[in-house]
Amino acid sequence: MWMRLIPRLDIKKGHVIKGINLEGLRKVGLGVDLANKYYYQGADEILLMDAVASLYKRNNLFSLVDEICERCFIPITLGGGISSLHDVERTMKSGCDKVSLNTALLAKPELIDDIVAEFGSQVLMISIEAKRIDGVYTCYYNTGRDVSSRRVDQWIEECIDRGAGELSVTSIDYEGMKLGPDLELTKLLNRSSTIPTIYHGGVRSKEHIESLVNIFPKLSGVAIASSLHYDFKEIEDFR
Amino acid sequence: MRIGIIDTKMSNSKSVFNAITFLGYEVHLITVPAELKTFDKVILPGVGSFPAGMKELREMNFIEPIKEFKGDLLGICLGMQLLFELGCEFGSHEGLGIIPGEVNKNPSILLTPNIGWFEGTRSFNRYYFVHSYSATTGKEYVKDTIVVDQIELISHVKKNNFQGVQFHPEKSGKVGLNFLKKFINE
Repeated sequence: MWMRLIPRLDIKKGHVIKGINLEGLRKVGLGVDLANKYYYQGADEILLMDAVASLYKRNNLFSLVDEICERCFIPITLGGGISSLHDVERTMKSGCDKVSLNTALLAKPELIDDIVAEFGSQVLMISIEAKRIDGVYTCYYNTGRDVSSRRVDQWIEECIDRGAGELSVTSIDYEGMKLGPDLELTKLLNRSSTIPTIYHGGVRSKEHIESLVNIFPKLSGVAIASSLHYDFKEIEDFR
Repeated sequence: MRIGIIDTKMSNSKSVFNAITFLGYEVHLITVPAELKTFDKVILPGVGSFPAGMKELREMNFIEPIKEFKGDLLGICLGMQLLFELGCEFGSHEGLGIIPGEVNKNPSILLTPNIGWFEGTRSFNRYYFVHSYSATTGKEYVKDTIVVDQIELISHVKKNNFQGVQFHPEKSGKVGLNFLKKFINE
């Protein structure tokens, strides 16, 4: 199975920013330039996240998305601050293929049913921010800042029951760190998920991806941020 | 040569438009069915469900003009599925009936939707797929297939001047752009 390698770009004012544990600060380049660079390196998809969406309570990346979709001919997913059917429609019209939602779904899980009924399950990438508290993986929101009352395994089950088409799961503890991927979380994903699933957090080498696949053979994709932005790694280094 | 994209509400016409523009061609969005016959190459894109796609074509009066179209037509994803006689999504629905065959839910052994990049067994090209349904048809119409978890799925069909692909050439990088270029130039 061909592993989907998905550069994740967290954007603030047109620039890709990247920090540790989902707290982004440092500028690493213009979003449009990095998207282009990774597209030509052979990325399978691109994930764009508005890093300041929760601050402004809306997604601010539509014009950037327009520009990227005119040059990068791979699936583009937009996330951050998307909270209504209207937002989803606007995202699709700008040339995006998928929307990524987390905060809005935790607050209103019925939105999953509504999006799937209106646009089909393939447009919705459900984003889950997982962090272990007292041994239990728990769902976070607002880019890892706030904790919800939901357990990750139970939330995955509910998302699937509601018709979700794809999951993207971030390990907050391992994201941006040099610890490798979160293998305990991967075990949970292997047990819980029956739909295409993307792992994000701490992947910095081909060997890391192999270790994920050993635990979770049906893993469908890996989102990579720091390692591409900082380590001078290229997409090909992960194949 | 005139290139057009049938622009229904259900379609991802913007992505296809961007891809063909990037290739250096002029391309038009077609919203008036009577204009269809003035085009040489036409693309029928589509996302969403089979019945919703057919309803959209019916309401916009595109069904007869598409069936009578004499130029080359390429259906993409749902646009390919609509070319068949029957679609079994949310019940049984009549399609355009241009290519014999029907569209059914992917075998339950596969992860649904089937998302990812798969290599053609005949073209050896790797394209991006995202679909929960797939076509069955006579082997004389099959141009290419993929294998997912040991199950063979049809990825490219052709009958006379009509062809369809289950994958998204407009989202399959350089290989996909080449496919579109070939369709325009052949």
